[in-house]
Amino acid sequence: MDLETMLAEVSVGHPRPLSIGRIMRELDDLERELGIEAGVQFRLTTTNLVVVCSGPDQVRGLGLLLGELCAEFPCRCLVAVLDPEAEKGTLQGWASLTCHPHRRQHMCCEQVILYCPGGQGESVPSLVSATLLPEVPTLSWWRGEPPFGTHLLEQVLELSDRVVFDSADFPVSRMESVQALVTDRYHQEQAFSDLSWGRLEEWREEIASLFDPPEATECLSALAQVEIRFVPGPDPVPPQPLLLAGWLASRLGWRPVPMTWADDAFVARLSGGSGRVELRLVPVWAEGQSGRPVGLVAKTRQGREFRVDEVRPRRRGGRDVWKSGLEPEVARRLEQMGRELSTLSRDVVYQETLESALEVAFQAPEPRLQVVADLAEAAADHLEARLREQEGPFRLALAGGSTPRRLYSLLAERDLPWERLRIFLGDERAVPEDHPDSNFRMVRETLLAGSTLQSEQVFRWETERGPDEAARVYAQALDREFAGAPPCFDLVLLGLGEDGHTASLFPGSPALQVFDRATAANPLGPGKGSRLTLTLPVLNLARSAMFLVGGRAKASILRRVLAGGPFPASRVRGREGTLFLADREACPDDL
Amino acid sequence: MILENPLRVGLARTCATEPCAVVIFGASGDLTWRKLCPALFRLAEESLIPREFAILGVSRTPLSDEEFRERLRQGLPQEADPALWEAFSSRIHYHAGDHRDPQGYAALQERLEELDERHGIGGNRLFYLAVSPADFPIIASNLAARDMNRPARGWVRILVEKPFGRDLVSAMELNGELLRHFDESQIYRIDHYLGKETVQNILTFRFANGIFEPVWNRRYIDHVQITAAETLGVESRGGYYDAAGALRDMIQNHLMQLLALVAMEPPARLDAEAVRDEKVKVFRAMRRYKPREVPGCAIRGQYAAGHIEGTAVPGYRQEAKVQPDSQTETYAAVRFLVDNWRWSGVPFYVRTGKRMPRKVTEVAVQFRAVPHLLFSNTPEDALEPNLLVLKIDPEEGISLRIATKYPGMVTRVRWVNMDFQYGRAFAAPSPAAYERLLLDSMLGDATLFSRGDAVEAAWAVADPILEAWKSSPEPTDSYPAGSWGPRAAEAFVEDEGRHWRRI
Repeated sequence: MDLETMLAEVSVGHPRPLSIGRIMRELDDLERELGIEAGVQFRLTTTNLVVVCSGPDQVRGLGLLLGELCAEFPCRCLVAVLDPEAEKGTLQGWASLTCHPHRRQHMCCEQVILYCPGGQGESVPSLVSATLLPEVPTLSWWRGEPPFGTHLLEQVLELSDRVVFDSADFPVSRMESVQALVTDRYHQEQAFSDLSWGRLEEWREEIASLFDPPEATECLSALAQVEIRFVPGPDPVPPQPLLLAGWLASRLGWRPVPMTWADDAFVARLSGGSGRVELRLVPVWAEGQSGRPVGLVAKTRQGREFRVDEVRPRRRGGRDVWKSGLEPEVARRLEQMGRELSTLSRDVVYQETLESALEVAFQAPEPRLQVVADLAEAAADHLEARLREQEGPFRLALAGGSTPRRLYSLLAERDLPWERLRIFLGDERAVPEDHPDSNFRMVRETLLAGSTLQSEQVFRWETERGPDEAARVYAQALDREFAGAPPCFDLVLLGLGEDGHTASLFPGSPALQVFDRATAANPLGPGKGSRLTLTLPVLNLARSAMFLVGGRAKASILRRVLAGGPFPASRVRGREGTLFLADREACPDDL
Repeated sequence: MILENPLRVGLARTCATEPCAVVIFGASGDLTWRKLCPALFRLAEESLIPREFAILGVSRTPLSDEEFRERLRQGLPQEADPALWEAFSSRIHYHAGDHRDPQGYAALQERLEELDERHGIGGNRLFYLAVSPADFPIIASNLAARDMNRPARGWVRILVEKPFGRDLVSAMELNGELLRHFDESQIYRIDHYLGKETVQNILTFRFANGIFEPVWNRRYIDHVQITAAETLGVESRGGYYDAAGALRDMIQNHLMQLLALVAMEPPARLDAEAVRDEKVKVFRAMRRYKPREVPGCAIRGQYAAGHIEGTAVPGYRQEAKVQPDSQTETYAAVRFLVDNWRWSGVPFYVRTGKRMPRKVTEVAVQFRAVPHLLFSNTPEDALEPNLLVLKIDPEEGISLRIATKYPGMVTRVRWVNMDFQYGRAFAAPSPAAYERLLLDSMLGDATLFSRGDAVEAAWAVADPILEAWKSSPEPTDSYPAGSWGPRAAEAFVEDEGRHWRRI
């Protein structure tokens, strides 16, 4: 996002080399002008709002949100936009006063915007201190992953009364960093809040109200099973369902233990006040959703059932709700930030929830690297071992491209229980099935040709239907195979692109944002055709994931992916393990 | 033992509305579709009504459920969410019957039991009496005759609208009738003024700020003015109004409630009994005038023809359903005294009127002037005392008048108003009074409702004035529509060296 576009997203104004003195004078002038115009004699401000965007893409939609927000809560806003990817340059800053157009009164939003290109986040705290209104509570709102463990975060925290972030913006594993902040004795003054937790308020309300009648309250201590259905997100068990589970556990005094996968759900058996409670987190698809709960069923030992199937988002309070004319999504976000701004105290329930949530959290093992002399041979051994260690159908997703070709030929020569295999293709090019680029053609020529595998055991993408339809039909085939639940393969074989892509999930591509279905068509850009691919939640629900990385050209990306860089391949974690199998060329000596 | 629901901890609502049926007597009247239904629907939008819920309209007009729903739909804005209305309206029912007829209550009871079954309501009932006060006792005894006042399970509450009596005797009779069949804790007397957000804000202002309470007494406060002015005339309420008058219609209930909120001692807790105990103490401390004192303490007026915002309007006696020789007051100004340690000698001037130049409701607290004049360049009369105004209508807010130095080489004092406007500070709109009151009655929180003893205590203060006016040979003063009331009202304040605030 360039500076101009970014500007349009945040506010009016002209970026200029930073001078706080000038900015404050500008703000005074703007206010005086407006005051004369509107006859305002007295300005009221309830909050300092410091918004720190971890990157320029985090400013999207921010202007509208802040404008509306300040209409309800007169704020002085300081928006700091970090741009770590940009070249180091001069700090830019400007002020603006936006008056709300469609309200009866003049509601004005005072904004100071700072743009920090390159690694200049360390200068932000001093700028914040210089611009805050005295004595007014300060709320810092972190858009994107907060820079855990940096001076920037520590110092802005010092200035804040309330710290708001959204755990949907970072991997669940980072929630431990949040927990560390919340429990740090130097941060006992600050109240922390997670927007993902806030979004659960309606769920909590709905669930709590099930147990309000006294005879139902008694049932709480007799619960035998609680099932939470949820849509996966970037994490197999995303923050919202996890926090919901943590909330129940901490409120009801269940001793939390980590979840494990069992057939179709993440399960933890917790010891409750009077017996064992089975907590089941069941991934499901629900269109247009991601990372949120969609249903809850609680059963008592006596067989009584309590359920919530839908939670209607609550409307915003007040009389002009019918006329606000806001997009429901904006209204919802607004409502939530409004709640954050209207409370400043520490949320003890959240803290206890977070603690329990982290204890029940499902954590896939960190990826392992194994360097081998012969990539295809080693991969075939691994695959065979996986296949033989379990009984019944073995569901396998294959990688395409040139690297695994020899692996498939080798496999075909082996004496394997072929009848147990059910084979899908992790991705496919949108070309006819006999096209040289077709992944299916490669699989047919190697695996199918050389083994006793039957063609109905291999599921191809029906590319002749066009990309979108092909993706839809493949998802239906997966639905039949996995009884409508999100697919959980026994093994997915994956390649690694020099740009960090895997399957056909390319950096920045829209398919990376798909969490509500198993497949996606991924257009590569004008004239480059399309790819068809399994989506991230499917890869992350697989029992194991195995990357095949061969050749000198992959050395650099392999190192960066393993270091946790921002690539699609770094986001893949098999439930029981992720193995990077690399040949010596791909693996530099220092790894 | 009652178990606390551990899942409620930390939620915005610490208690939930219990399942209940709202039974509206007089359901075919305007109040139901204009106020009650929209308020209940707004509560539904915010998921504040219980999930097991029903509305049963009761009235003589024969209507089907469908027709009744259609009628209620008219009161909602076009934009109301159709899906929510669908769900909400499926819980609206209608029962045709005469609430005066005891025979009809068997069918009503049956209907309610059927609704209990259908909507899973555990027998809780909220009876809303949107009927003439003369019918309150009739409904109460008819309900009692079938034991519908104290059911075997659940709770029963009745909500009644004003007027609650027309003097002390009738109020006591009415209370007596209701209390024969219901406990005081079951009776919710609506004073919709108390449902207003800004009225509730008076308590927050007084007891959440540390700096005002120390000066909130006779040492620092000179006097208090409470004004409720409206530009409207009696409109279509001529029949009722002509028998009531401004003192009964506004002062005895709404404005005395405001006065009590301003004058009360800090309650120990913010619960219904603690707050209402303190308010009733104020009423009991208010001076009850002797008949001969009334002319000096209370002024009445009646509007004559005049102009409102440039338009010619008729006088009160020319209005529909008003007696041509009516002496009923459309304006009343009373000097109340609260005889206790805090307020002894501090007059509370309360005025209300129809056909005033502007629509304004406010409480103005005038502090004492500085004891010694330091600024010789300032003409003495320019040194006004500090004034704190709690504005209720139409712009809700608070303004404080303070003295500052006018810029320049010489010291000159100028008065400025620090103006805080609710609507500018928080654009979040305030819930309407009926929403809050209906929700509270479902939750069983009676804080914002008038208690029987308070109603009686307020009548005891108003009664001597009404009595004196009734027996007075003096005709009611008249004032032209569009003015601030009769001349005498000015005089009676000015005699004490004060003047009405120019609003």
